[in-house]
Amino acid sequence: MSSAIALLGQPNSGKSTLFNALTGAHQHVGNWPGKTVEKNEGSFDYEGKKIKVIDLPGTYSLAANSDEEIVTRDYIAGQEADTVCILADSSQLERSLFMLADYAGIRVPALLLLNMMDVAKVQGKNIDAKKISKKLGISVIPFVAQDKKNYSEFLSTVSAKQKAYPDYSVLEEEYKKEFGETYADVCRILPENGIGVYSPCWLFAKLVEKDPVAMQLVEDKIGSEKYSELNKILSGIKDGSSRTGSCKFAWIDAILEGSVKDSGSGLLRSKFDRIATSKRWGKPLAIAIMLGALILSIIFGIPFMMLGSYIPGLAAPVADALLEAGAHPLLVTVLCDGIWTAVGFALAMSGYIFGASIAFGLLEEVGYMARISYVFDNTMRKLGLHGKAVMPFICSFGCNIAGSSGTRVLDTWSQRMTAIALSWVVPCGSTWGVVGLIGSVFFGPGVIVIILLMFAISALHLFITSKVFGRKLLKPSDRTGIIMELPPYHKPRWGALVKHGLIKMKEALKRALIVITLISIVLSLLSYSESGDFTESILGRIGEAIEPVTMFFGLRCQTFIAWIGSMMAKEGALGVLASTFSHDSGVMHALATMKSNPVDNTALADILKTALTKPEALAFLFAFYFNMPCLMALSATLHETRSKKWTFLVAGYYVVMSLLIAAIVYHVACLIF
Amino acid sequence: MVLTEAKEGMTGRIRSVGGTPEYQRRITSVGLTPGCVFNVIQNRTKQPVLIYARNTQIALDRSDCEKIETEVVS
Repeated sequence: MSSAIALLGQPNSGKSTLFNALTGAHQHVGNWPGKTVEKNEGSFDYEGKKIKVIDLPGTYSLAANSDEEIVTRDYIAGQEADTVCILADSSQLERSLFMLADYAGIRVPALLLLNMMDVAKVQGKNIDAKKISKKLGISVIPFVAQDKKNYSEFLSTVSAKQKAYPDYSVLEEEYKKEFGETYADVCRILPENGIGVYSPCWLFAKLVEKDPVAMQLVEDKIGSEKYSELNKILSGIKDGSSRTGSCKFAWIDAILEGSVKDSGSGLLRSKFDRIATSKRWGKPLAIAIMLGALILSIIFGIPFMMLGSYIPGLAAPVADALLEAGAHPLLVTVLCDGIWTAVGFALAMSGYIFGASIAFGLLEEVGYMARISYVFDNTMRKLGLHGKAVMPFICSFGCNIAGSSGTRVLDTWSQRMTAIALSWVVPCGSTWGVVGLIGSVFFGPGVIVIILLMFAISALHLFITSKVFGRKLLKPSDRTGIIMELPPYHKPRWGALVKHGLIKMKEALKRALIVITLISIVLSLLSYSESGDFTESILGRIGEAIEPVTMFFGLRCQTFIAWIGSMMAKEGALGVLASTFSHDSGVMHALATMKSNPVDNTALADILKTALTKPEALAFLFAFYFNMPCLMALSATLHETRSKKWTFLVAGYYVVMSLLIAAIVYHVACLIF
Repeated sequence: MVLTEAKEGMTGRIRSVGGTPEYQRRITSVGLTPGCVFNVIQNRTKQPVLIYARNTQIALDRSDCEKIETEVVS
């Protein structure tokens, strides 16, 4: 029979270090069913036995505050794991044992790992694991997750099946002391043996904490009549969570009493930390470091991006070969212009995702990300969010896909959805490229003025968008303020970072390939014409037919199609412009050549300058800049939020807004030029 | 006095935590409960309040801090 263990612990308790050390390459990343919560599974062999390992999400407690916590609780209660390994950070033992205190009362076998013993020793703490073990009635192992040589005690303990769960009798006494008669009254109504693995003591705490999931569980079990009796008692209890919290910490104190000798001093703040959180220097430092991270993302991603941009270049010889072999031109168009280009785009894009997850993962890992959130908290509050939401905005400057997965650090779905909706205002790297190029063709150094204007409108856009969606999405109860640990600075674990980056990249690549392949097939079909002249293709004819309408927004047939094309991939806009104005090939072919050979910009510049007026160029630039991000970002958002309704609503909103802004800019510009 | 009024460098004790059950659950899980002793590290306008409690540096939203009653520990 195979066995399974689960790793449970607060963020920064060293859970992932242990998980990676145990499982090595034998791991699998997925999602918990129905939730956007990462599920890490793996396995290892010990003395001929295969042991499965589940890395539960890092949460601060087992309350039902977030999806992560609910997933964690359900998994433990489901008893799929034989043993739950609870990790605590020995350097912050009192606080990190809260997870154990919240677990106490759940009757699933557990053991306690006192991780980071080395750090605690340096701090002057002396922890007696045997004494703690005696009081808890479970195995307690001093541990250093980084040091694989010291795993033997842990491995032998975990492979011998554990049968004991933490002794919670002292905790029960604390509850009785704090709540008096109420404790007995509530327990009388509850089933005598609790519900499943949950003891009456655990259920009592969750009930007075007004934990919605636990309340539902109890109501279903005891029926509505008994439940209303219970509710009468519970409604008389104020500040339940604070009070059970005090009991839990009193229990922790009782366990640690006589087991821990602390000769160390309090917090020693480094000079760097003072600057990182200072009112004057915190923000400039954060901006400088984030710029550095963005540059680093691109550097890490370069190998994949180069590979990605090389692929479309191979399309032409393949196309020639196919045509010579007698394949139908339409088929060749779809294959070489469409799918081939798509693969290149997707690879280049996911290369950036790889770089970004390493660079920003690094900031998180060393502990600096929390400082960024701290200094930008006030700014994010103006948008109805809090400091932790700053991350998706920064990542979006590189790529909006990275931005949307960056929202996982937020507490609730509505905060996540709002943050993504707002971060779409942030233009990605490719958007900047196109704006810079076309802007300088028409306005030379004046492009700076245009970019400043775009910034100003972006700020306004952010404000309006936060009002439009914030009202519906963020109810007052979702507008929670920041409660955040500023962890001590750590050294990064490069291996784990790269591994995580590769996983993210694979995820993005898979999704991007599907979306972009479908779209490019459609686009290459629509823009195909036998003569190769774009205006004779279906797309060209439609474009010309609706030009009277699109001209209201200052968009000609060609710029309108380029605007649509940019939804597929932002730099695609350049290619579409080149092909539609030069009448020589399909739209997709142009997308391909733009990727492999972006040097021919002077030719494009000359064509554009003669074909478009300045107001028309402006209209296109603004419509392009404020449009929704590319379809890959849309599909990433769909994946993160699991809400078709809101994703498409937000996308529609951006499309409308971009046309609206273009129309205003165009008509004002017509008066000026 | 509430936490926003606490001076930098002060050592205090939490007397009570108000707010919704959700808020109380969240703040309890980072270790802040009545009776808990803390140091005020940084308390400036327009920045979250930074305190050190139970060996941990914690940032707290300013308006939330008004729900936290504290007293000075001498």
